Amino acid sequence: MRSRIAALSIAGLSVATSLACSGGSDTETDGVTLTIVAYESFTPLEGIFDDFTNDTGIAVRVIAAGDTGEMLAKAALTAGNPEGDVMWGVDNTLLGRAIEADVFDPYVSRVDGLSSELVATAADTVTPVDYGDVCVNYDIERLETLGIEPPNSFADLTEPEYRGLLVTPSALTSSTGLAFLLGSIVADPENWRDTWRDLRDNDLLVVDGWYEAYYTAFSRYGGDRPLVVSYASSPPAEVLYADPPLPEGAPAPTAVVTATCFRQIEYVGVLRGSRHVTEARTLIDFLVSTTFQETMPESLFVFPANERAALPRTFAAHVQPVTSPLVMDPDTIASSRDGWLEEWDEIVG
Amino acid sequence: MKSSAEPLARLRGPLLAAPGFLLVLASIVIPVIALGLRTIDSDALFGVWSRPGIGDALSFTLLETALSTVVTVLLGLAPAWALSHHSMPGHRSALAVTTVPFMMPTVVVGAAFLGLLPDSIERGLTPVVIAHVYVNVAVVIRTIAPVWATIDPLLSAAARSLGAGRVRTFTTITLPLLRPALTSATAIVGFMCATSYGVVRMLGGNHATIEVEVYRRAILFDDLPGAATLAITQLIVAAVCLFSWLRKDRVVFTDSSHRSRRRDRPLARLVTAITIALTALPLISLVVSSLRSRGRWTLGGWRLLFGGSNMPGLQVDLAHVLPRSLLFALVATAIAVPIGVATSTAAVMGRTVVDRILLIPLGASAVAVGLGILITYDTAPFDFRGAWWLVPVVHAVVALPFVIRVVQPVQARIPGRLRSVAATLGASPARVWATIDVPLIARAIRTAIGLSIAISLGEFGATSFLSRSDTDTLPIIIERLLGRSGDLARLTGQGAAVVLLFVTTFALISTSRSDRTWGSS
Amino acid sequence: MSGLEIDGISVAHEGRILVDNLSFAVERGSAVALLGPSGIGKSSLLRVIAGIDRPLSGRVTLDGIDVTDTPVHARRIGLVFQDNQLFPHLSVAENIAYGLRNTANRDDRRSWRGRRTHERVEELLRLVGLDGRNDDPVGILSGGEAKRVALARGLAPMPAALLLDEPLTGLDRDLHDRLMIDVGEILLDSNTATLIVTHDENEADFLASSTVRLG
Repeated sequence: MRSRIAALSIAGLSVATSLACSGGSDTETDGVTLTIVAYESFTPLEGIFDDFTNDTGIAVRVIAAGDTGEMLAKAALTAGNPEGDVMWGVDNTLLGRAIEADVFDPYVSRVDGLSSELVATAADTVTPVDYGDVCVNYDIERLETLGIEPPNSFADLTEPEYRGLLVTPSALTSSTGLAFLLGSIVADPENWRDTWRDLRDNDLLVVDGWYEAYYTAFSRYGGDRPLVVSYASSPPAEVLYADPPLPEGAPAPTAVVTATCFRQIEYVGVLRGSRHVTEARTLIDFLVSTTFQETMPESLFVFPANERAALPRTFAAHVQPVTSPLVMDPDTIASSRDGWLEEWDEIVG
Repeated sequence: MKSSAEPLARLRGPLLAAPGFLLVLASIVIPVIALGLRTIDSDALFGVWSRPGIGDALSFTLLETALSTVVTVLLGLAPAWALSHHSMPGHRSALAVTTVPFMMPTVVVGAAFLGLLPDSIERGLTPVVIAHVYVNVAVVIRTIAPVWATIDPLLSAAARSLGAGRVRTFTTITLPLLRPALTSATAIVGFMCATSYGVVRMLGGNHATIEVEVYRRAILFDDLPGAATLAITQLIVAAVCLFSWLRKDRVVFTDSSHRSRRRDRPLARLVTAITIALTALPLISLVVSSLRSRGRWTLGGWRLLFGGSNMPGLQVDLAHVLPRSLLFALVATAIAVPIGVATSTAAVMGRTVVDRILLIPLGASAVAVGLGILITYDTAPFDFRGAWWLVPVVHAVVALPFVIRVVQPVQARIPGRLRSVAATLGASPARVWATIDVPLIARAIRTAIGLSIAISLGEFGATSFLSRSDTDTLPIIIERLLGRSGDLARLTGQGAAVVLLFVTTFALISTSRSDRTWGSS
Repeated sequence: MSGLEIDGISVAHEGRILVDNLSFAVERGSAVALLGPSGIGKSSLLRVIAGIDRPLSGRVTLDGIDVTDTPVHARRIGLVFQDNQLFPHLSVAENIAYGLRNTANRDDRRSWRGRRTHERVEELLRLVGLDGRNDDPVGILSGGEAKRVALARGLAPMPAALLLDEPLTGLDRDLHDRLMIDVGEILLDSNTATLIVTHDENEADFLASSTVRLG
């Protein structure tokens, strides 16, 4: 079965390349199956690739390769002889490493509406596909009960008022935790170490992963911490997934501290060594088209990189706009990340 | 060659041992070595030991392993005694229930367990040890209870009538008879704790085991050479431990025909009840939790699970995932159990090295194995990356040590002279095996089937690290759902965990039904 | 000659030579007693004759055919261990029938499975005085009953030779005497070359026509 697919793919490719030269039509890539290598939680809307396959003749299969870090470690190890053709989801905290490991065959999509701001972070190697923000979330009801105003900055979190209220996943073991750390560094490049010392002294709770932080320590799920490091997309999810459902028009039960939001940008790229580079580029163009992008908020809880893509209603209603997120360019992250992590471990560990 | 195993010795020992040996070689040893050859340089080989965290990881690994193993084995003796010495109805189901925590993914059981720990217990050594006891005590019960059940009570009674006190009877009669099983249990629990990953990450605070450190170096710090060095060292240490246990255990036989009827002792009842209560509490809290949201009872999660969810981001196709999980479990079992029985037979024939070599998967780092497989089988026609069957094969490799450790001690207790008699009655070696060994280990085989089905159903670490296409299993789905925020995400995730819990429990209970074989009454 | 011939057999156990260059013969339909104190190597010798262990040197001949290199299961030499070694997972009748299914060739095996097996088992149960106990599990048998079943099981496939290791040891006086008479009669009825290991002169005199002494 596998070898037959491989044989078909090779046949498809030769036809495709020969026709591409003579400017052939859309049907020339019939029979090619492209493999997207993605992180574990890549759950695109069911059937989303059907139209793409109908239009182009390119079939799509998805390989789940662990979480983002695991996926990248694998890609680095197999650079040049990749597991698939397209990689979904390497983010700005890891892009530098991916480029260093020479994982990608450079391609930046020119689809209309793609945010130029995001494209600028992609080092002309990959295409930004979505973004999200890692921010401190708070339990509105619990803070009201405690009679405490929501914090407004990293500095606020070190105040005695917020003592013992914050839980974060570890920067060493969780990409969410790492993003939060990077955010604190962007916010105050000089004094972030002091901020973390103060946070530690203010009874910060550090847990292994996002799950433990959100579902065991966060007050909304039975824990005793009303502040948790999570995503800007968490409040709309709390509305969409509320059980019992919230009354129509009711506000989200949680909110984010926008000043703490660190922007995570995810990219798609052609894996170097793919035998279907042309088709892979076609697929990437589709992934950043409005057709696909408009389904992402609700299926993947990320925001579209294509500015023309409309947000679903629930999302639009409950997302707090993050107007000036904390941003760090991938090169800086790649060069300083390990050192920062060791320092952070020294302070918090 | 031991003379007592003579009839079986005429079977082709190397041929019997080969499949298991090759499977472990191909799936564990070669990939890890390949990873080492690809990445390790002299800098990593010597430098990794001085990197921050390694010293702490080494000492923490040794400390928690020693503590967890000793406490688990000692505490496990009580329920093992109780479950092998009384005839309360349903005690086989009890045995099955105590095994469930061992089978469930750490994120599920660990979280449920964490919720029941008093807040005063800080993250660190103590909760890690407690969690290890909770998860692994089943290994002790499973390995020791069946052997204990076949120890002749008359033997202990005789010893006591000769004036030996209870303690002396235990240390001079019972303990030596239990020793092979005890060694087995200690080895497995030791390996499980030494290579513990999920529990240590979740409860260890800022402590790490070498296994966690391999992960950190490979994935977080982009230090594959360092990770591979640690992984290979871990594998070598595991192998050395295995070979240092090569000293053959004296196998003592007690004539089952002299076994008296067991009495129902109140103390045994009490111990069993306490064990079940402690085991079941976190599991029950999980079931309850999957049915409650915002202070009310709800079927929201269950409706999404069984009604076919069209809730974006929470698409759970249980009608596909469950049969697929079961199919993988059956394939894994069809690989692990025959290979395990063949290996056990080879071991009984005197090749004791074999069954210990096959414990090696317990000592291998899942990350190193996963990365190793990726670079070992990457060239056509051996490009297996992304192949669906990798998942059940890996499950089989994970289950294999348990299958062997369940079957082998029972088979080793079959007296050689029983086979000799069969041979003098005209039975060929193959027929001796089929008519004597197989019926006498039938119950152990069925237990092994239940265990390997349950292991496959609940396997998460290795599965999630493999690159897979369209092979989501229940634990993968659970992890994915519990990675999203919102009530329904949590409810469906926990609901799926409860489904896994029930399927696992059913697999364990239905394969532990009592029947008329050796060692049962 | 028809029967069992032992020719210049030497037996070692754990590196120690126990039996050195021993020769004797047992004719079909007769019994020979092997006498000697315990630890002298009687049981080891039986294992060698049965084919379970290999001799240091010497030959074992059965009905004129050298079986020294024949594997245990093809020798047609039965062995009854001192502690019986009944198959714990089989009933009394199934224990006795065990050898019948093995020795028969493929065609016969089918017929042994049916009536002929049943008749032979019934016959043997009567012979050892355990009629009607067919379906009893062996776990509930008394010492004497277990011994009888072991004997019946050994005799069932009509072996050319039968080796009995201390068949009457460990039974109380009464049972010992009764069983000795029974065993004597059973052996008389069979056309087997019987070798009986014992340390009891009376037993040897009663059961055997001649005696070989070790040590």
